[in-house]
Amino acid sequence: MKSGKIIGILLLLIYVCVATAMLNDAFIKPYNLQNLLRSSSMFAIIGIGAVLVIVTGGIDLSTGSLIGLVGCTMTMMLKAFKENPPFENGAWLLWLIGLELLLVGIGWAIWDQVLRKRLGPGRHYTGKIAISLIGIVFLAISLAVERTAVGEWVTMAAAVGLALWLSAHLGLLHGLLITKLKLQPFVVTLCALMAYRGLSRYLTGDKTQGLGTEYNDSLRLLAIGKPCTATAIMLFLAVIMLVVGIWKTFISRRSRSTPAQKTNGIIILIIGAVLACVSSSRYWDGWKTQFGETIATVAGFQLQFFSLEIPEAAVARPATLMAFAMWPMLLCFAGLAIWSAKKSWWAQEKSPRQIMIWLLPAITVAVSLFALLMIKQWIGDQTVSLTDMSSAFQGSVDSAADDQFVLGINVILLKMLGIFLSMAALFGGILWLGKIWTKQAGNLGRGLWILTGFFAVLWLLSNTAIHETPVQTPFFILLIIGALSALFLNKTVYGRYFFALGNNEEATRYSGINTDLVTIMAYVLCALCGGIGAVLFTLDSNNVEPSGHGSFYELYAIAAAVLGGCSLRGGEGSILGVIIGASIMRVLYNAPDMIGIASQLEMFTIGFVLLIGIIVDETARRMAANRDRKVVAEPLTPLTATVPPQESA
Amino acid sequence: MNRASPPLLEANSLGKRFPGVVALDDVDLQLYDAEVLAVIGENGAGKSTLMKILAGIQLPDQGQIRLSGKETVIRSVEQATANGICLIHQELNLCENLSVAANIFLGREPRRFGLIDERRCLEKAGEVLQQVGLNLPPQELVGSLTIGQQQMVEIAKAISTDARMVIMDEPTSSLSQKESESLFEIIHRLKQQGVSIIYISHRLGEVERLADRVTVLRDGKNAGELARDEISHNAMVERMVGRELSNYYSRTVTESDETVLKISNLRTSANPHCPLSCEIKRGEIVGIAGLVGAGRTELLTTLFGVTPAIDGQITVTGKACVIDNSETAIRHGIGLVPEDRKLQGIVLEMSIRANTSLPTLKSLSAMGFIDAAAERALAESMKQRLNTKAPHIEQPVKFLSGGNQQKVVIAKWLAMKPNILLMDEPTRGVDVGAKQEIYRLMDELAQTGVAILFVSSDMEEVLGMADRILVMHEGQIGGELHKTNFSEESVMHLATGGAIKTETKIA
Ligand SMILES: Nc1ncnc2c1ncn2[C@@H]1O[C@H](COP(=O)(O)OP(=O)(O)OP(=O)(O)O)[C@@H](O)[C@H]1O
Ligand SMILES: [Mg+2]
Repeated sequence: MKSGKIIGILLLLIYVCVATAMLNDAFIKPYNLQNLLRSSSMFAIIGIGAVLVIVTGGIDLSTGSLIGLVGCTMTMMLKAFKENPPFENGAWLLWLIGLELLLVGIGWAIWDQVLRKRLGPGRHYTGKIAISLIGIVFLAISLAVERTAVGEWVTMAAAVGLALWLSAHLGLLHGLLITKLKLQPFVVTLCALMAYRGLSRYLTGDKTQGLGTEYNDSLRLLAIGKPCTATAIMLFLAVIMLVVGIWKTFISRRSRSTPAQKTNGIIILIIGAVLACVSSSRYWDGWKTQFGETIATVAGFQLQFFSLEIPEAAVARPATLMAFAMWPMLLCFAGLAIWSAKKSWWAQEKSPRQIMIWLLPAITVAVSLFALLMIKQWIGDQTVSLTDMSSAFQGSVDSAADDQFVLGINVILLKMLGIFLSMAALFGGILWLGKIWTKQAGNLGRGLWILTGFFAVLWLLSNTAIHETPVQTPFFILLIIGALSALFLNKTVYGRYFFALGNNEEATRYSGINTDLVTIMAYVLCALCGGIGAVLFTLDSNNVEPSGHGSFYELYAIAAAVLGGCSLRGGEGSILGVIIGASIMRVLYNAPDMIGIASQLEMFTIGFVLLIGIIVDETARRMAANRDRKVVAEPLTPLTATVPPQESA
Repeated sequence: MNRASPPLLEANSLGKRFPGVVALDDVDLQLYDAEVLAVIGENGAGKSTLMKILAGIQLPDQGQIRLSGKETVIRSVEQATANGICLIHQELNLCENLSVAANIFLGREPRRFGLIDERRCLEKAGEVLQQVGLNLPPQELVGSLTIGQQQMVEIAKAISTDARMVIMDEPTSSLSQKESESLFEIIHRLKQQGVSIIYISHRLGEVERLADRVTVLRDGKNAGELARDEISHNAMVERMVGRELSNYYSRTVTESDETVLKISNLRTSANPHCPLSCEIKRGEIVGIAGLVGAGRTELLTTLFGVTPAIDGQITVTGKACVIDNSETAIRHGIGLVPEDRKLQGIVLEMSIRANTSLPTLKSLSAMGFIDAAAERALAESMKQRLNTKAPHIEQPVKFLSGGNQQKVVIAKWLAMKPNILLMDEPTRGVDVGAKQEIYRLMDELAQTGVAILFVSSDMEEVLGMADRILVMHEGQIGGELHKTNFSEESVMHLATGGAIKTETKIA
């Protein structure tokens, strides 16, 4: 997918964070950030599942109920294993999986070669033999460990394994129903949604399943463990991005030929550099006593120079690398902007229309940010409880003092509306900018836009104690799953088939691709992601309410996927996008809480902000299109003078 | 034609560019009352783009359009329709799940009390269908029609708008001979009624027959104009390609006795009552002729496994095999260039590179990971070999012109190195130069031992390229013609169900 789109939603995420942080700095307090990171990661995992299915042109509505069902069975299983361990340890699960694989491999071979006589040249045995071999390996391992006493963790592993096994098979069921019976994905997964919910209520007798405190130091660490702080992660990411960036800009031969690739490389490089500076400056706490003092002053001076507000705590920290790298980095930026401006902006995009297009949404964003600040001033630290709100809606005068009314309208209501509307305008403005980003390629505009995002991040970071913010295990699980699925989608044969299938099923079939297999794969992988999510959600919340656990999560997953650039028509989507999308959803969910609005309004906020945002975005697009049409009527400069540079070498 | 009055439609120095491509550069065009203007040019010359601009689908970057001398900016399709301009697209644009009548009157449904007047709709649709010579119940779903019939529905739709200017972008590319004939009749009738027609085609024979005037485009520029008496095949080719083309059909027959494909009593799901049998030898090019709906496409898709056979035997290089999906077909070295390229041939959103490598991706990969360099090299070499016109191989196929899309489809199957290549209308929408290239390619492939079975509605092509012609009629192979008794008459005779005994078995 186009990287422009990703940068667009990344900026969206940044600005939504900025807005929320402006309204309440509790938003970027370590505790909140930690929770936000954890929940975003878990939702991103199920979002990845949704992407995999949506890319092939399908949809999976069953994820939420699957999470409920798998969560229930897992807790029940854990309890049951605890009371009477099956076969001493969990080897039987391996045995089960091994046997199944072996049977499938052999059965498939028999079906194909004997019953359907699909004889022919080629490597048609490999898949089946591989499956059987893996089955045998599993069987062997299970036999080997059967008599050894391995300890409690195996029972736990078995319960988790069983949960994943179950979800993968439910996915297989969906896939088989959709491909072999030619049912519509929507219908199949909708039925599944209802069936699984009912089943989990029945299995548990509608009783809440709890794990108690027993697993706090073992299994639950999967969801709530705190292996390291955000600083370490940022440093790690920075190193990776720097390496990738350097590779893309300077070494890879391919990127030298296409300018788009090169810009991507530069962008990655810059982000990596920023991350490295920021994170390292906080990481080397120990340097403080030696020469940190002066450096801290320099860094503080710099930040003040940009009139960024720095909390005491942050100023007190030494900022080693940041202090050194900040100026050259900014010079780079300025240079880049001027260079690109000279090169492309003035050369061909002089028309005021271009500037307008960038300016309008930028003003929208700026104004809504400012509005939020003002509202914040007005509200102060006051929170809005549900009773306040209901009285506001009913206009019950007696319960409220006179000063709570402005022009006869309840103040609380006004404030709320103000916040919602400015949030929504902000959202829309950025979506709009993001679209322009992908459509009109003015480098100056892009440079400026990145610059603002960069400062926004700096502002956020300068207010955040990232070295005190723990990153929890789900984030790492997300990293692994994200990396694997991104590799799968973009680099492997089957990933390509996913995209092809989503774009044009018939042409894919005519290209000799087993579309049924690809579809089934998508649903299995989606359910598997759902299953991993289920395990994490269950361990995180520690008790599972059969009728509510995970409900609506499928919609969050789908929304995250769509926000992250998936097309529901299929054939388009990206893993990075869905991860950012899921984070945006979580921030929006978190925002009302932070702003002091009753938590009952969480869902309302998400819906409202998304809707208004999309309306603003869409209206803007129309306006721009209409302007385009009017401009055409004017005589234009000769065409030949402005032929764009050839893109390929 | 009254040349004194301002032309009905006049375009002045139109320009349009896309990223990396200048599609139109300073193009002029005039259309006078009641004339048939043919616009010709190579693939990617900008014909379709020009027409899209005239029909309000795209806006020009520069230039003006005058309608009867009055300068007009055509901003939308509605505006074009209101000005009497109607475009029949190169690619079909019909709603498959709606009936023929509903498609014809889409957006202009006759109403009664605010509701669609179903009966009048059907009645009027029936009339229009009668006009274009399509004997179909108007309530039939469009999805169940053949492409040729769908094309006729498009034409019916255009006629029903009472347009003053009808633009036809390669209307005959998916029509059978008979359907084409009735289209020509319609064109004559429209002309007599005072309608002007812009006619785009790569079949120069048709242009010669129909056109009052020819405008030639080359690389987005005007490359000359031919008046009625100047129109000739050679003159057109020369202006289009910039040079003369000789030796159009190049076929060097290589004899071989080895049968690579043998089918016996094959029954396709479309015509289950007609068992088909035939044999194809190594290095042989066999053409399948017949009218649209004779079951030619079904035979190919059955051989390729996308519509599995009901019964019968397929033997590939001496081994009997069951081909019930395309994957198996490919394993046996069978490739298919399908009939409907937009739907079956290419994935529009994906790049030239990804499309080219799609069937062969597994052999371009190690451990499931795509070898990006090998993939690029393949696409690059195919692009060069077929001379596909595109700025680079990362260009999404949807931005290519029709003929270049067809080249991508062919590239896909060349990359597979097939033993047996099935081609359904291989040169649909391909310009003369490229056609010649494709013919040369077919010949080349045949000489390396590939057996080619191709379906074509272009009689000349079948007669020119095939070593042997199978003529199908109503689901059956009506007869077989060998090179010695090739003639247009005998093909037509067999195709319309003529006597089999005299023509066939003269081996
Ligand atoms: N939307 C688009 N984006 C980018 N390039 C385009 C787009 N539409 C057309 N082109 C390019 O413009 C050129 C002209 O295309 P056009 O479809 O007009 O050709 P054509 O003369 O109709 O060819 P054909 O005979 O193959 O249909 C081609 O090189 C094509 O790749
Ligand atoms: Mg065209």
